[in-house]
Amino acid sequence: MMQEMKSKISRRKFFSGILGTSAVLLCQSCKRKEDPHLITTSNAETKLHTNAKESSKPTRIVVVKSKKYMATGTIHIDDVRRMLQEGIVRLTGSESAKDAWKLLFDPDEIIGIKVNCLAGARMSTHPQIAYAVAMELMGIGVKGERILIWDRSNRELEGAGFKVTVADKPLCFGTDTEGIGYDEDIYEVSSTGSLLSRIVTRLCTAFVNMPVVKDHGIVGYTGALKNWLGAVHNPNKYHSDKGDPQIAELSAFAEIKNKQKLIVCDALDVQYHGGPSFKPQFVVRHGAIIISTDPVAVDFYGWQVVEGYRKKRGLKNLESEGRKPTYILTAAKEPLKLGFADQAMVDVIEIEM
Amino acid sequence: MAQREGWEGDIKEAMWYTKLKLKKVRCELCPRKCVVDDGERGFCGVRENRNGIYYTLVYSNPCAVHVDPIEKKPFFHFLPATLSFSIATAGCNIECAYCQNWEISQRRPEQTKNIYMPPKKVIELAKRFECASVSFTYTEPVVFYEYMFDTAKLANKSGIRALMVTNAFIEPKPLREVCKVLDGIKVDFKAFSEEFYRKICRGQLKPVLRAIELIKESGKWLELVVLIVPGLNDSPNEVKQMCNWIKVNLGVDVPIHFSRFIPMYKLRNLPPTPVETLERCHNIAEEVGLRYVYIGNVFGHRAESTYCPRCKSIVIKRYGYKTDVRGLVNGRCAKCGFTIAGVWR
Repeated sequence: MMQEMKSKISRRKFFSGILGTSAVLLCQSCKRKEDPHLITTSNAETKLHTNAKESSKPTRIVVVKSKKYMATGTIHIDDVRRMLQEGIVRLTGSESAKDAWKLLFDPDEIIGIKVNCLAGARMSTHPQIAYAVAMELMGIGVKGERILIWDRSNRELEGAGFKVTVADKPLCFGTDTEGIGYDEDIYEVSSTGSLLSRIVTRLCTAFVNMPVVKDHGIVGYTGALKNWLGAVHNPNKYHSDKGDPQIAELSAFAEIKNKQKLIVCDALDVQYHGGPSFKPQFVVRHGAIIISTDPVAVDFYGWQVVEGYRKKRGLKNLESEGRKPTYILTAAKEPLKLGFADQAMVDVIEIEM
Repeated sequence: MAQREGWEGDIKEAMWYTKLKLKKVRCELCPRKCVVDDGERGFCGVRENRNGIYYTLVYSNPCAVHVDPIEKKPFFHFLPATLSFSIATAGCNIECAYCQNWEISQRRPEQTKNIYMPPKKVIELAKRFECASVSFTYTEPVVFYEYMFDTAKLANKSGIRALMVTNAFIEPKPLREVCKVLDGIKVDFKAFSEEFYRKICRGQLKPVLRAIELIKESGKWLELVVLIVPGLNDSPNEVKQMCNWIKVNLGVDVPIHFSRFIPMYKLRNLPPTPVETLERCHNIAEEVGLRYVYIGNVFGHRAESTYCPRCKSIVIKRYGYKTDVRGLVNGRCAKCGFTIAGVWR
């Protein structure tokens, strides 16, 4: 795959382009801080609540369910786009899907779509969802070469069905791509020192976090918060103490917290046991996409979905197995306060299409 | 069978693990005993569960290869003034906040520049560079156990000594087994408090103490290094307790090196250890009765040299990595004939 890419575009040209663009954008982002009219994450949130008058609850998730996927187990990118459009309108209270996307993203940003590819083709982020999001972003004027679908490695991306490319639009490659790698600054998460992917620190100015809903054998649950382990050089160091508090703390870093504008969680399939690797006997068709700006609320919801299937199948709940994902609760508390892990505080809108 | 990637050495199934349900494994190499899901790695980052089988990713895959004076390890009582062929792979099973080699120890093998070097090649090169020993060092050899084990076995057959520089955070069974093929072990003894091990190193003291005792029991040559970090492990009381423990459990002939801390990795906010602090530690150790006490990372200090415990004359004079062994004759003090503990030939 990489050989093919090299024939289309020289590596030097590509990286001078990408990193050059990044440098320009870094300058632009400096300028943006001085412009009070431009939307930052925090004032985007404010605007969301101004528009979303249907509930007084402080956070919202929209669960869009696909009848077609439930019936057939397949989904077309156009179906996903319709689900996204309906979902993001309901999330933001905007007049149209375009208005909603524009509320969250500027057309001149470099937007990273962080997928989750650990479990191979059958339990990773569906490429249709990632590409549908990319098309929606292009629909508001984001250029395709400014959208990057990414994860830790090219091998994992390809294994999950993505086409690694530095020539097509959107771009798609992993942190292990030559010339990318990890930043040199050490970020301290609890007692772990981590290096962050340059995709996070240098390339992208905004992110769509696109996890899947899975059981995890050590930390209990893996979703939006844990998806960022794919951005550090040493994810193996995060599993001590069931990932609490380090998984929560990772999402509190400014580079992640401030750039993460949206979570589009792939819950078309849910693995309720035996994760994080794919175990077909524990995977059920769930047919949903969960959309929110609150990663904690998305994870809290996803965790309950997993518990629900576990109960149906006669399995113990995660707490009984010593795997309660307490890092999700930690993420909601002081001092992190990354979102809400409390049903009373989350407005859940369910749509079936 | 696992598929080999470009950055990998020889794919080899790991030693010391147990297969669990749902394709999980439990590593039994170090006291951390990581339970590792399919597709994931242990804390060390170099051992991976692939479809329920645990693999080492660093066999024949060193990221650091150097010919060093043996004093650099440091081994001061093991074939002084010889060269040691020194290798390391990526990875470590603890995370010291002041790690001097964090750029390789805290990375995964795909993030370091590696050289394909099977055990046979290591021994060939050690001979070519006239090294008396092979050292497994720099990062943590416990995490490249299989590579170390096979290389040490070959070294034994080739008349080359095998040395391990380790944190001793290892389970008793694998330690006993590897001791059979090693000739000397230098332990980085981090501190004498559980709190320091837990907070500063993400390790545990108790299993380390047991491992050090086992090394001593194995009869293989043992030296200890304590990196003294200002304000964290330098209290006279703690140092005294440590020295007393050494005296009672290991004996007075085990050399101990108090080394100077240099700000590094996550501990850049502390100053280098004052020489006075190291001298205080040195004095405490001598007062307890330890015979061979050294100060490290302070070039030219008088406590770099070895003194005869009986007549106090210099038996091995050192200045940095320059070593003069004229005061030592057949393992004895040239002046008074006192037997100096060590491996001298």
